[in-house]
Amino acid sequence: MQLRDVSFEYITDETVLKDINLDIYNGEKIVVLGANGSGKSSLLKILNGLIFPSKGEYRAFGQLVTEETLNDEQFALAFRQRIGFIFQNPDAQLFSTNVWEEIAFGPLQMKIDFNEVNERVNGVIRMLNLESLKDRPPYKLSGGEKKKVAIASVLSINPEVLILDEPTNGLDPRTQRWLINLLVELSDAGKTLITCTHNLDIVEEIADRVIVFNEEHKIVAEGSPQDILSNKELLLSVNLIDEHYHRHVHKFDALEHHNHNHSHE
Amino acid sequence: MNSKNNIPDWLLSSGEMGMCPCGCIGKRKKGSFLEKTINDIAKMLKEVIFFEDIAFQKGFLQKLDPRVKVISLIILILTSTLIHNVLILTIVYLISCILAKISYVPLKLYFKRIWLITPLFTGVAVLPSIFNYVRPGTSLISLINFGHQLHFGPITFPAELTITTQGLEGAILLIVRVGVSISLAFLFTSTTRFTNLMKAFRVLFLPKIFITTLEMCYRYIFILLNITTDMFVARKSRTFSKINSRDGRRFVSNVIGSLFGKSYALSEEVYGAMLSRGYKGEPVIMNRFKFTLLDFQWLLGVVICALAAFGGEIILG
Repeated sequence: MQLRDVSFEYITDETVLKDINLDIYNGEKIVVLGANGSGKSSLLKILNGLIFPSKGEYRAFGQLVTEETLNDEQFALAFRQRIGFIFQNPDAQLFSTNVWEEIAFGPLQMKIDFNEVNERVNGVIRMLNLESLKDRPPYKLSGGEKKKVAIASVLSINPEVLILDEPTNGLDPRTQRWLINLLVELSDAGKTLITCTHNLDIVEEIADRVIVFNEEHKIVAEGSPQDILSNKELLLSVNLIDEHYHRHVHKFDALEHHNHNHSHE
Repeated sequence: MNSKNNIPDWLLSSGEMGMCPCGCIGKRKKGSFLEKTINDIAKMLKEVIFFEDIAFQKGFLQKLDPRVKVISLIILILTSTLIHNVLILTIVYLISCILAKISYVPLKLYFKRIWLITPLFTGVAVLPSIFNYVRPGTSLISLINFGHQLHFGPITFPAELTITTQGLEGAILLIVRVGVSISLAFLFTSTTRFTNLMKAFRVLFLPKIFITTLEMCYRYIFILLNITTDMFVARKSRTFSKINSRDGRRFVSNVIGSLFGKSYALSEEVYGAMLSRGYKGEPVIMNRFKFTLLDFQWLLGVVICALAAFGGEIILG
């Protein structure tokens, strides 16, 4: 995926994104950092073809993505199938009447054979342990369950690229942990992950590369998570942290007999 | 950004007002419209969830294919509107009570829901027709005897105002018929989940987009109701005394305005989410209903029942 000199504005002269140049490679894990209102969400929407650059161009999988090209049904379908978008607000994403149908919505719109849809939905339900929820309407789900269903509904399309907008927002530590482990697994399976978040604690695990937006809606830095997170000056300058921010480095202790990451307060 | 905020002094002092529950300082106030609205919304949600629970039970009617239920409901309602015999209608009603029982619909509720309200409204509508002034017939009870004919302009009424046998019979028939029809509709809808019911309407050739819109409507009503409750609760938590009606009106209009704004923003987001998952203007719906042997037997039973009812009417006259 390739963005060249992309700018975006909802209202003239109120720029939301300014001169963005970005390349995202297959199988990569990218995290987009930036303070509230820096344009991260708009960037994700452009990548998902929900809004289109006012200036510059966006290419995905070698093809130009514009309102026009997405009008082509075959192209739109292929593009939508390759990119899955998990919204910040699960209530916006869960518009079907029960969990099963929610997960089936994507594959059904892709005109996949009914038997295969059945198989995929049940497969995703098993994978994410949603059996007990499958007939429930969305208003009977907790925040964490909604997130799980939202993810399931996107995974059933089997996208190559997963875009996540603030995925850990409003989740309890245990569900956050579950989610991060899932994301790592998906990445290991070859999926491209593009996440935007404020949650600096999770960045290292879900990023190969970090992109930082400043409040002028520009990309000011790009680098490995270690480099970016240790650059306190940079994070301060983009108003992401205050001067008292510090990180606890958790040393791996072989005596504890477990080598996975864990959340800590 | 400066992380040290300048907290104003008044925010640092606490407990400015005396707390005395005995009523010697403050006046007791009655529940305001805020509370009423919050309670009403909660009541409505509770009711919807209660009915969803009935639809989730593993009773007899719940096992049937919703499409079959829609068809059989139409057959049964048509039958009960065409039958003229109160006895046969009563038998149909009794059968529906048995169905309610084996489908875990509480009989008390089944009875109360319909027979407390239906007679009242239908009764008002048919009330004039029981008098001989509207529908002449054999006199059953004489109410007033004026001794001479009454003239209202060009219309002449008989001297005696009576309730007629034909009028009363007609009225009873109509009330029973309406009651039975509504009972059947209630029984079938309460044992079917709303969304399945919507999908089952496809058998009546309703367009897909219409069904999808209705389903989403049902889905988002809950979210908007929750948002409304939140706004009312937030207002209540900052309400210290009775709200005068002008402020009340202003608050409600603000709520309506901001609710509209929020639902608009939400609709845009939902549309984005649909697009992102391949929606192209015409939704693809998958049918998960299965027509089983039980459905066939049931449908056969319904048809036999309807025929028996018509047969019974011919025999009984």
